[in-house]
Amino acid sequence: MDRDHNQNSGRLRKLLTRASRSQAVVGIALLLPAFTFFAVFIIYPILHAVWLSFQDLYLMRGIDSIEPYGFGNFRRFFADPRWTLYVRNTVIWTFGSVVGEVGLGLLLALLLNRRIPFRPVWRGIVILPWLMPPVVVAIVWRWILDGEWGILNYVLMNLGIIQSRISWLTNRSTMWISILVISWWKSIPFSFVNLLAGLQMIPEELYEAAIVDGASLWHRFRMITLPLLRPVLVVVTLLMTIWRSHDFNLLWALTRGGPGGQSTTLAILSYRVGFEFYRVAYGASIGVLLMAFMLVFTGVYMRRIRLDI
Amino acid sequence: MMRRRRSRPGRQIEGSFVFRRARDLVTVILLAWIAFPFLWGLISSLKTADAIFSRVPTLLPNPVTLQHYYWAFTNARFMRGLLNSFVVAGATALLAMTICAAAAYSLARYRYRFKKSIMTFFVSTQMLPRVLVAIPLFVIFTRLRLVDTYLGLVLGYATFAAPFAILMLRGFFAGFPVELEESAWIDGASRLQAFFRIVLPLIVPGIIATGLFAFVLAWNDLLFAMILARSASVVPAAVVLNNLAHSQFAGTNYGGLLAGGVILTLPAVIFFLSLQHHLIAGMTAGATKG
Repeated sequence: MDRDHNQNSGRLRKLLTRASRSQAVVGIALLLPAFTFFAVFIIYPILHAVWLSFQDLYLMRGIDSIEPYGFGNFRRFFADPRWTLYVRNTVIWTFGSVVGEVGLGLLLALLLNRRIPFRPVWRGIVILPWLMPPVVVAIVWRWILDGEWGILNYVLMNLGIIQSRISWLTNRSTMWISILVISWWKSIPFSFVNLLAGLQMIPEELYEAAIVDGASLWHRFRMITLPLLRPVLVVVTLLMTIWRSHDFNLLWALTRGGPGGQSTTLAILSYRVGFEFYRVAYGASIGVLLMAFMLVFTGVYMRRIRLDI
Repeated sequence: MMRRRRSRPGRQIEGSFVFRRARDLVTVILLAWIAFPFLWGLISSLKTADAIFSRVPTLLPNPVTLQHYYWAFTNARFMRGLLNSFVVAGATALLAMTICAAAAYSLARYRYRFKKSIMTFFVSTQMLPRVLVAIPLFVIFTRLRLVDTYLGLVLGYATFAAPFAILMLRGFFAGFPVELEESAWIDGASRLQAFFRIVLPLIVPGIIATGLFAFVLAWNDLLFAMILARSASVVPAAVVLNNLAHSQFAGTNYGGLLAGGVILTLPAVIFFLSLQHHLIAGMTAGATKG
């Protein structure tokens, strides 16, 4: 920052020295408002939640009925015969979503990184789902997939692909694939925009040289695109995995964790036990479990991938 | 749609004819899949109830009706929800900007120890489960009598809007040419004067974009609103619409729900049309430029 300009006047040099002496102080001072907010409204609540997960709090007895409970909440969770279902749902939801989002986002980024007519228009279309609030995504897709009046059933039946109408989001065998397709649709903009930015950072000359050397399209993808895109790919995948694991809004708007808990993830369960069954501390403990799972996952992922960025 | 099938001459042509056609086909199918729900939602919201619940769906609304929009705009709860959403999301954006602009500028321009750790700290708050912030906030805010107030909701939303805002603003500040600032110092301006007179005015589009980004994040939320708001005078529109969509007779009112959905989507669409470039800057703030 304090670059040396040869034509520096003595006055400028003095100014810069003064600036660099005081800049650490001013820099830290500028951080204080944000730092205070984060400490009070994010860090303290998280610590409070961890503490809360070792307490018992039943809202029907009032907010002051907090009492120590040891590992009671965690024991209660693992004593629930359905805890494996909730964990399984979380895994399906998280990894099912991320694989499709990153895969399709990469495919679209590659397809739309070529020189094609009206390219900004096509790129704009891919961004569209980001604009739609999760609640609206759920309404529109539930309308498309509606068992009685949905356009999808109409088209599939006319094409002779299915014989009878399917309630896509309530039928157990079609529920998850429907949820995941909607999740892919909603999240493609994020992976697309980031991976496209990553692709555009790869120097054109590398491809030109490879073409001269007679490398096939596949070879160029394997040997140039993929290795150079790797840092972005690694970060996008990690961010999406973490966000998706505790995502609440879309899944809640789509199914509310139903039917009969079949699409309940840990994030949904945490809300439901906390505010439908008023076991607030129990809800916090499930959130803590989720956070612990994701910390372990992130640690393993970083080690395996040897994050060097 | 027709014109993009015509491939251009030049070095882009490669692979077999079949490969190129297949690639075009995949592109068209994916784009159609992405665009269709928008069109179908909009089209259906303009159809009469008879046309919506018809065994043979029509491609275009005939006749076009605004009856569902009339329903949405005369639904007192939904309208109150829209007002609440505007107030709360707007206040969240303002709060996030106020807190974060200084910090983002500091992270982009000043030098001090542990800057990298501080940056990591701000980034990592994005990774925390939102439910794990919302639940303790509920307990704390109940004691402070902040549950079911605008202020409580704004503070809750700011917990996830602020981390985004810091990252995004830092990107804008870091991209601002330092030479412009330096020339202000030469002219005798102090660092803070230079910030307010030179940097701030020029960075305004970025600040507005970040504010709108925070606005949309708050506007879209369900979780915090469901935990921290209860009465109709506070509950935002997204929650109102979601409750309507899951009410017992929701299946008979798809037109109204879709019209409400179109209304709820409008702020983000206007944002996109006016500041497309900056929106993408926001979406890439975390991953590509971290």
